[in-house]
Amino acid sequence: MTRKTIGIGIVGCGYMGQVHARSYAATPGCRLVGYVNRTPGKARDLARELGGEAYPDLGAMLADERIDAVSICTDQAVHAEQAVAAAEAGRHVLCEKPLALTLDEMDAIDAAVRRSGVTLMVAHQMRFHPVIEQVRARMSRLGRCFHLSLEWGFRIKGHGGRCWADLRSGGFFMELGVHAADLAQHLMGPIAHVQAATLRLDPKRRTEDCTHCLLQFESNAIGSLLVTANHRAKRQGMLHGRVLGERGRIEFSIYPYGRAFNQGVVILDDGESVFVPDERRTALPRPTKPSRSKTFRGFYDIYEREVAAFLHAVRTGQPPPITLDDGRRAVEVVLAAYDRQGRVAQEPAFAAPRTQHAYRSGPDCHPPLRQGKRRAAT
Amino acid sequence: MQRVNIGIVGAGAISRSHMISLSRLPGVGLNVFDPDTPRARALADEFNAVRADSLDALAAGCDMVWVCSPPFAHRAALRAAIRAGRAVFCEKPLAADTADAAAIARAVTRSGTRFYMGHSGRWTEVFMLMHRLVQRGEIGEPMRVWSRRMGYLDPAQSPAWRLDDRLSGGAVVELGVHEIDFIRWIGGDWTRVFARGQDLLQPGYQDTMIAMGELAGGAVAHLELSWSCPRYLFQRGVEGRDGSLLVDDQRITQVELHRPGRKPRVFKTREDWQDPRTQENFSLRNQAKAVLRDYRGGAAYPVRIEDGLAAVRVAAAMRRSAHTGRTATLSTKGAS
Repeated sequence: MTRKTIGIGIVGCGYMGQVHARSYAATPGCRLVGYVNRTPGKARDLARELGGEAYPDLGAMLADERIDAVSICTDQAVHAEQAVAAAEAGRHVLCEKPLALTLDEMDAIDAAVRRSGVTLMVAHQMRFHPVIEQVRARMSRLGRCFHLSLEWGFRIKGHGGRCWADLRSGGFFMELGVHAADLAQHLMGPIAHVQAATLRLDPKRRTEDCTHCLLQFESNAIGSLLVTANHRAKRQGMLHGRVLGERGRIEFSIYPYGRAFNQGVVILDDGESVFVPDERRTALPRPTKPSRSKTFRGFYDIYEREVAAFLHAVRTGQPPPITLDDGRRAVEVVLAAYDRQGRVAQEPAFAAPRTQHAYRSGPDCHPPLRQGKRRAAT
Repeated sequence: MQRVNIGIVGAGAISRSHMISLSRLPGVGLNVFDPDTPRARALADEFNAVRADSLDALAAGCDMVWVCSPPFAHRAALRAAIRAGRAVFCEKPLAADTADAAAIARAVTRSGTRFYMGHSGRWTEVFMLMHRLVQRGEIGEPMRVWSRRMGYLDPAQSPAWRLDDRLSGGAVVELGVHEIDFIRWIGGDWTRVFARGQDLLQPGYQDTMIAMGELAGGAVAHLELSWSCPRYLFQRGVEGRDGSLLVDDQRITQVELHRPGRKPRVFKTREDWQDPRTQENFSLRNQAKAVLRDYRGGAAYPVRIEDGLAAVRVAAAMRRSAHTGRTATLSTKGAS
C-alpha cells in the first residue's frame, strides 16, 4: 500500500466534470493535475479555479506521468474509447454512468481493464446516499425481500439539448434511468428479466421520456421502475422507493433539492421506526476544504464519498465498491428495456400507439460509435 | 315509493356490509340465503330479514337478487335469478375466471335480465371526485393511471375459498378488479398487459403482483397489489399532460391536484369512506341508492356487465402474463 498522493486528470469539464474536480479538491490524498475538454475554455477555467493545467487532448493528458487516475465525465457516447485509452495507458478510471452505450463497448472496456490491471469504478453515486446505505442496512430486518418499487419523477422542461435532441445520451432512460437500474440491483441483487413500456410523451423530443419497467430479479423477487421526465406531482426529482419483505416493509424517499424529505420508515408487524441521514458521519476523511459540489443539498457529500472510495480502491488495489460489472449490469437493464440485445432476458417492450418513440423505428436513435468519435474533442 | 324486495345471496362479511346500507334505505325488504344455515339465520336475525331455504326459494320470493356470494358461486346464483326472471345486482368480481364471467354475461344478455354490476369503487366519493377532475380537463389528457394497494391477509382469518385461485380467482381477481376497473374508468380499455407475481402466503396463491399495461386512450397503467404487506397502503393517481391527481391517505378523503407552476390544491370529500359509528360503507350505500333509483325508473345505473367482464378479463390476462412471462394482449370487444 503506497501512501503517495494520487494525481488526477479530469476528462470532460462540463457540469459533472466540475463536480468531480471539486470533490477531489475537497478530499485528501490526491492532487488535481490537469483537465481536458472538447472546448478548452472550461478546462482552463477549472485549472484556474483548482490548480493544475489544461491539456489540449486526452493523449497529452495520458502522456503526463504525474497523472495516476482519470475521471471520465464526458458524453456516454465517448466513454468507451476514452476508458480504453486510459486503461491502456495504465491509468485508473472513475467512469461516469452509464459505463457505455452498447455491449460491445462495455466488452472493449472490460478487455482493456483486464489487460492492464488498472482499477475501474463506475460512478453510480446514488449508492453513497445515506438513505440508500441505511435502507440496505435495515433490509435484513425484513427477512427475504420479494418486492421493490422505485419511482423517479423529473419535471424537465424543453426538448433540445444533449438528452433530447442529438441523442448523444443514448436516451432518457439511459441518461437517468440507469441510476434506478443500478439502485434496484444494489438493493435486490441482479435482474434477470425486464419488461418495459417506453413512452415519448412530449412529441417534440427524439427519445422516450417516460419508461416503466417490470423486473424479475435472479432471487425471484419482482420489482417496478418508473423514470419519467414529465412528472406532474408536487416535488420534481424526488425518488420514492419501497421494499417489501416477509417481515415488513421499508418506504424511503430521496430529494435532491433539500434534506427535509430524505428519510425512510421501516414498518414491521410490531411497529414502525423512522430513519433520517446521519449528518455527522465520520467514517471518511474529513474534507480538507469545503467542496462546492453540493449543488444538490439533498445529496449530502455523495460525490466526495464517491471519489474517496475510488481513491481508496486505487491506493489499496482492492476491488472498488462499484465494479465494471455493476456498471455493465445497469446498462444491460436499460438496453433490455429498450428492447435491444443483452444478457438480461426481455419481452419486447411496447410503446403506446399514440406515443411511438424513436427507439423502435428511428435509425438515428442510437449514435454509432463513429459519430461519437467525431464529436469527441479530447 | 315502490317497495323493492331484495334477496341477498351469501351471508358473509360483504353481505353484512350491504345489509347495513340496504336496511337503512326506505322501501326495501330484505331476504337472505346461505347454504350455511346458522350463519344465514344470524344475519337474518340481525337485520330483521327473511331467511330463504334455497337459491330458488330466495329468487322466487324477491324482486331483485343481490349476489354477495364468493366469486365461484356467482354463476349458480345468476342462473337461479335468471330462471326466476329477477333483476340482479352482482358484487365484483363478476366471476372467478373468464369462462364463468363470459357465460354469465351471455346468459344475462340473452335473457334480457336487468343487471347491475357492483364495482363499489365507482361510488367512492374520493374517486368520483378524481374522475370528475379528469373529465373536467384539470390535468389534461391522462398519460399514466396507477394504483397501489397493499395489505396483509391473514390466512388463518380468511375463508378457505379466498386462498384458492380456482374459487376466488386469486388476489388479482378478487382485490385487483377494483384497481383494474378504476384504471379503465379513467384511462379506457386495457389493450396489453404484462405482470409478475409472487406466492408468499401459500404456494400456488399469487398474493403479490406488479402489472403494467397499455390503455386504449394511449396512457400507461401501473398496478401494484399485495396481500403480504404489513400495514394497509392504498394510493391511486393519474398523471396528465398538464398536471396530476393523487389520493394517498388511508381514510381516502382527499384528492391532491398538482400542476407545474401552480399551487397544489386539495379537494376534500364531505364524508369518510365509512361511518365510524354504524360502520356503514358509504360507497356501498351510494351504489345501492343508484341501483334502486334505476330499478324504480330513475336515472340509469352506469356500471354494466361489460365493465365487470372486462375487469375479469384483464385480471386473467395478468395472471396469464405472470405465468408465461410474456405480454398478454386483450381484445377490446364487448361482452359477447
